[in-house]
Amino acid sequence: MYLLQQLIQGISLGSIYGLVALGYILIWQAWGILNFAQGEVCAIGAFSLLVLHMECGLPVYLAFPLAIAVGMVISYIIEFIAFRPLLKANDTGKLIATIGVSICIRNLLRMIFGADAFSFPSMFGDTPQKIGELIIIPQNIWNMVIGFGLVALLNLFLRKTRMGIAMRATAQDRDAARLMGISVKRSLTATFVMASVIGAIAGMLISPIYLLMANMGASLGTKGFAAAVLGGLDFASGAMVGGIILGVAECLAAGYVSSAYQSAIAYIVLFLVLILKPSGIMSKKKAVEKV
Amino acid sequence: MNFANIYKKTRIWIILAVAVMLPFIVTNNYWLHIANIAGIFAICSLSLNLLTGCTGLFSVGHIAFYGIGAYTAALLATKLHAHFFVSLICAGIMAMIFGLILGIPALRLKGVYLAISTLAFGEITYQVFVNWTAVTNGTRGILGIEPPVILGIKFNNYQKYYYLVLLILVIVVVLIRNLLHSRIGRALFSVREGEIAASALGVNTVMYKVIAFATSSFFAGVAGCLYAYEVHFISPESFIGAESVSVLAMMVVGGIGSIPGSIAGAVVLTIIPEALRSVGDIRLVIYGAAIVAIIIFAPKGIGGFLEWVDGLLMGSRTGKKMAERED
Repeated sequence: MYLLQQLIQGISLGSIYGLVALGYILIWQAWGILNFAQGEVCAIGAFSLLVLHMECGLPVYLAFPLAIAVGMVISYIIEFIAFRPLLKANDTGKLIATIGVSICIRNLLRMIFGADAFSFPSMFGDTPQKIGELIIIPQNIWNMVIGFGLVALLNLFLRKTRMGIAMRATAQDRDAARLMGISVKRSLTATFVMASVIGAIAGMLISPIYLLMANMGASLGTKGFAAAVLGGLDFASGAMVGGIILGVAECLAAGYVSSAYQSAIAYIVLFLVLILKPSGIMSKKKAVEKV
Repeated sequence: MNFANIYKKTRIWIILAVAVMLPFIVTNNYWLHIANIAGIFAICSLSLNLLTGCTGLFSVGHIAFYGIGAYTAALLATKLHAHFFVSLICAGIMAMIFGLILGIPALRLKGVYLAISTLAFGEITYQVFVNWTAVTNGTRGILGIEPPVILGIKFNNYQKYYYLVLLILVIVVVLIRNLLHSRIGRALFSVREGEIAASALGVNTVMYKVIAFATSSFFAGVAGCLYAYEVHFISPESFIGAESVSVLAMMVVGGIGSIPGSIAGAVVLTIIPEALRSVGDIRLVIYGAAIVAIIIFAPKGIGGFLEWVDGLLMGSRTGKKMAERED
């Protein structure tokens, strides 16, 4: 029973990591950039919700979409200032630039909100439900539902809508997409904003579980990155799997070994997976490089 | 002897002379401390440059080696009262051992996958620093590292210690420069440019990657040891993942693969946040923005700019000759 409890906890946490990972993967596929500012985008989402819900007193059903809108606008600004000029830069340069963006945002948040931690009430009620011996916190269930729901929605969007198909084409081959009359710039922007919105939602979902801090993006970003690589950066479907493996590993480590080493164990799992299957657990092809 | 020739012969001595004179110009203890930290980070960024810049092996957890060096030195200094040079070498060797432990399995990985395994390594190391209280004293850190005594001279203030850092920095620069200009260095560059092509030409890529990991982590450990003796107190907070990122930023802002660039990057990125202290909390926002701006407007980094100036002073009109030679 204890095991089941930990598993639920882990899957719930893991679906949030999966959403963060999805943001990394979308941007990686379209832009060829690992966006190290993804964690900070999550923090922006969480803090927007905090301001709108707690400070302005808006009810959750209003604050939630508004916070998403705020995340969209801010991510568009980030894309315009820092990412668009970098399309032709070298890979390492791009990576460092995204790190610069993340330092910038993290410290802006610290300037505005201070270094204190904020606690955020659960959007779905705090009272744990008892099913047999299991104690279930509504937030955990909602995290899973929203996580998987978003993935399904995204999948539908990418496959069925014109914009989604254009985005996929751009990710696959930028030049060919341009020749087919797709506005590459617009699809790149759309992908970036969409990835940021997913990140922002992940930030909002995790805020009742962990405390909100200006530097929360650092750890959340690293976990999401780890999940993305676990699932394989070239497989959007792997994000959730990677996230859940990481979340479950963390919770089992905390439950059975020691909570002090919680994240260390998660990283050891990651390290082992990388060594044994370098291209991510979802990949079928062998990593053979052609000249 | 025209100007270009004189410049070519004397430039390195001029820079050294300025570096030696610095403590007489800047007498403020606080800024001397910053200068020492900049020198220490210059060694760290040079070591990362050897691994990432020259060999193309991406490391996002480099601060772990620096931390291992710092903890080794601190433990040797406080528990065994070891001589400075003993701690220095042991710190380097200890970091190198961990570099090999990480490096050998990680050889299977490429690009971002290697990057994330180094990231994981950095996080694991940090967690061990925090939680292995029996050895590292946890978050309280290790206190009371005595200033080093060499040949009867006690390096008990920032000014004296500055010369020690400078001496080791110069030694490291000479070692890395000679390494890069040797057969090994060319092999490392060939691994970066095209691993398959390199192995087709008979370069033992596996061996050279291991060499890159080992030397790089050795120098990072040395830098960590210098840091421990500089601040006399170490705690895990100095070795968080964000520090790896700032070392990486130093290397890239300085210019990938360039020795003067790595040093310049370390100096500039150490000074910017300190110089901006007067403007308050916004300084780190500016620091982040400055990194983005440098990448956008000067893709070759400060090193590229230095090489351009260097080329101009050497008489090439466009400053291109030097840059091409470096490539």
